[in-house]
Amino acid sequence: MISSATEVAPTAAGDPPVLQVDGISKSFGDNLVLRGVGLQIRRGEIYGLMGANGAGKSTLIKILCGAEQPDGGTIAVNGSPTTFTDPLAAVRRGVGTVHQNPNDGVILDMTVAENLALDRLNSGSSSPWFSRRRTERDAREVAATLGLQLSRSAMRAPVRELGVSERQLLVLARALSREPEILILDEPTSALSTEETGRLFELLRHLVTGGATLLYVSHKLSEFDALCDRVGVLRDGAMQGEFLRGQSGPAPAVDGGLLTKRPTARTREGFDWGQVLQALFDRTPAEMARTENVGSESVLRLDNMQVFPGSPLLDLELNSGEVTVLLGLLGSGKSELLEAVFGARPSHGGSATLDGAPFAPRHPADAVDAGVYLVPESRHEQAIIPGWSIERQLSLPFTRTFSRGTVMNTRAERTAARRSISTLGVVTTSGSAPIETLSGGNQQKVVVGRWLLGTPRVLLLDEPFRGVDINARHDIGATITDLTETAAVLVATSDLDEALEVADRIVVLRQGTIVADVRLSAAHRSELIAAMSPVSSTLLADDEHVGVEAVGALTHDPLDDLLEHPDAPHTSPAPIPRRSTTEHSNEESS
Amino acid sequence: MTTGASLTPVGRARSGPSLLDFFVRYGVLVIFLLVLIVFSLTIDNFVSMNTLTSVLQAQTVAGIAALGMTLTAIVGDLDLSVGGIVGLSVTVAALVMIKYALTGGTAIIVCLLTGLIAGSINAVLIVFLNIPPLLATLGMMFTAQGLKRWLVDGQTLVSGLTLPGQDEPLKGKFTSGFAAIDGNRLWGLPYSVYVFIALAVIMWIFLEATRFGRLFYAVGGNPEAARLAGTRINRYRFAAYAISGLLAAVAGIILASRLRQGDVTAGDSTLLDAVAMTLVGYAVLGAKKPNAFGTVIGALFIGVVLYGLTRLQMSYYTQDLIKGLVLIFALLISFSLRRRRRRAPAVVAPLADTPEMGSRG
Repeated sequence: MISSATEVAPTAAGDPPVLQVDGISKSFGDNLVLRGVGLQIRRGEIYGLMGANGAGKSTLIKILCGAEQPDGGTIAVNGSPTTFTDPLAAVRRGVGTVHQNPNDGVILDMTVAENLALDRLNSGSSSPWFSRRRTERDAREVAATLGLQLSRSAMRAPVRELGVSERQLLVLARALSREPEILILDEPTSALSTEETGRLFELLRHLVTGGATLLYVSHKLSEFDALCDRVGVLRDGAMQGEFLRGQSGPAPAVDGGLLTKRPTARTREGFDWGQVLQALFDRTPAEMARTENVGSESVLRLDNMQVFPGSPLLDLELNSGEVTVLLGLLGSGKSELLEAVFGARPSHGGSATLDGAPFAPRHPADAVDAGVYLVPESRHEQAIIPGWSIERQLSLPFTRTFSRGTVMNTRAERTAARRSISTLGVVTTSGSAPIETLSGGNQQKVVVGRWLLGTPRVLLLDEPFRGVDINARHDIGATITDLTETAAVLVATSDLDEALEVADRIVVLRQGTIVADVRLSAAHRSELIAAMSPVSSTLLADDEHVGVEAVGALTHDPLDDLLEHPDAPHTSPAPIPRRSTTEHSNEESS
Repeated sequence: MTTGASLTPVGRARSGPSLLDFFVRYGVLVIFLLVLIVFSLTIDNFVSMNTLTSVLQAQTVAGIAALGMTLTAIVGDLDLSVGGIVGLSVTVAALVMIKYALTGGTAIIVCLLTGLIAGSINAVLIVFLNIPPLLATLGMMFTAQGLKRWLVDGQTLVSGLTLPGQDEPLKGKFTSGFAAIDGNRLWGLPYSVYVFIALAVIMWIFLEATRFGRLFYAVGGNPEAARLAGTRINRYRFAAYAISGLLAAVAGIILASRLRQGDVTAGDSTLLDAVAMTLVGYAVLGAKKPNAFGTVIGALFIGVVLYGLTRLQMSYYTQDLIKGLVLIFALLISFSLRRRRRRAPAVVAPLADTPEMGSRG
């Protein structure tokens, strides 16, 4: 294992790194998750950290933000060694963190303003009397760090009524307002739309210009390309190397000539992604290229479905043999449509036909009985029973199958779970381990894998790759592609990269209406972006701040070059249509 | 395909299960055992059938109510109406047999119906009318207590009592069959104790081994996840409160059989006893959640401590104090003890504050 392959060029003499980490190790029970991780982050840089499934990325972040204690190793901030006994200590030392699950950072039943002003409300120096006006003024200041402009009604709405991406923006704004020495961003865009992401990136670059230092954790190559000058790759609990922009980085495991470095059309030279990917998952990009499948048999047909009250009617036909992606931004009605099909929310009219027979579930139980399954959007809130073992999470929908009479047949349950764990590639020591011991990607494999124990006819997946790293994404993608032999698969996502990665066919949903329906081979990035994004979230309604330039950068994904993906014209990103202030308010109704 | 699979455990965990883990898991049982040993050494004739009978019989009423409460605690929250329903059930039994001079069998059926209806009203309030469980059952508690008093004009119903506004004394009485429930014995134990044991075993098997039990826990753990996995959660929540009402009625029948009169204060202490048993149950075997085995152990633990201390001349009015201490002790095990996080061994920050702060000083 290579712990630090690159000699980091010293910056200004005597200027210690903002964050220096050496030899960090950590194990949970028998699982050695980190084995001597070291990295240095210099002032004013955006350090990109990539890590595959179970690589130890989340654990490293938990240690850096004080939520977990390492078994060994040192952490130094600005050259002085330190230990973070708890998250508050880390915050005091100037290490701010934005976690990937925004619900960890907001209080759902308080208003937007109260959430934004929470730090001020907590500070001892503020007045003991609560004043809504002062709170809203403080909130506006905090929101301004992210360029958010909030209407009065938005300020007074409880956070529970906001979508995930809007909650994420609140958390970000609050972390930024504390002006941390180093800000750790753990997949901050996993809930954001492309446009919101662009806005965020513009802001991050601005912060760095002002002297801030960022540790940016993600699995999206395009984001590193847009943001970072240095990327470190973590695999199997150790650093596999660091890569500099425009340089053929240290390639510990690559045989020469696997990949001819080809000049990109871009002005700024990018990373040597071939080698980065090689370090990331021991696999060459050529091996990840994929061909389009064409489905044949119609499985589920939706007629005259209405996603929102008053929105236009919608028809959709799903075939087995192909993966259909439902692409749309937050508030486009993806979740609403999926949940209505699954019987989890009352539909606003319309009918469904499953294998030629009428299909009208009044409860998810009816859908499950018919072989129509849903992997919900939020893993923690909607899919996982806290504290339960992997085995039990898997068998939850099919306790009848795993029981004799009414008594559970735990042996059959365990056998089935063991088989699932091996076919899905879940990294765990035991099927009886609580699911919380798994990394996010592995948890998601379990949540998807639970439905494979049934007889799926239609599998609906709502944002199945959110907060899931690249390796688990590939595994889950492979799993659902295999499943198309017997079932129709619909993946709802707001991420264009993910869509292009798994889809054979892409259906774009906007405000409850299907606005595009194309095969993968005919898909063009710019057209898809134009189709899906007429507006961003309501919080980002101000016209002057929309980061079109940044969005443009994001529409080019280096994976495209490497994977010989659909040759969309990368040169001219579609301009984002502006919304008028009076137009539509679907997000609020969702 | 899965490179992640190469991350198999490499090193063994350096420390085995700690003493603290052991204590969290077996603390209540170990202390229960110690208490038994101490009592058997200090109290004459402690290890006897007499002790067993006394403890079990004393805990039967609240224990049965606690089993129902355990079920509601799994899917939602404690059922605060069990005490009220136990009392109501006692009064109903007395009314049926003393005022209306009907048979013991009729009394049992009417009591069970009363409990089932009260439990179902709880369920409707909670499941369909969206009242938070603790508040809905609190409302039912007051209602049941009030109903109990209103039904008998605040009187204690005994045979031969003349109700206000009536000429003749009540001529009905508790039938011998009904009185036998808590009065007659089989192999040294009252019938009622066998009812408790049978219900406890059934509840334990139901919760631990059947798929319905599994789904009760799923509904309690994450209702939305359970629903989206195809569990009809409303049926489970409804069933929990209905069954809890039914079991409270069973407890009331046993109490009535013991009292043989319609005592208006009957069942008043049952609620808190059942709460204590259920919560002590959280701590048994480190479950940290409601469970039938724990509830029974909780009932026995509290029963033994009270019995032993009473035999050691502790006066009865210290009983609540003892129960409270036992409960707090168990709650500490359940909620406060947790494996201490290992600290990073090597480095200790030389400065508690930021360098700027240090240099300023």
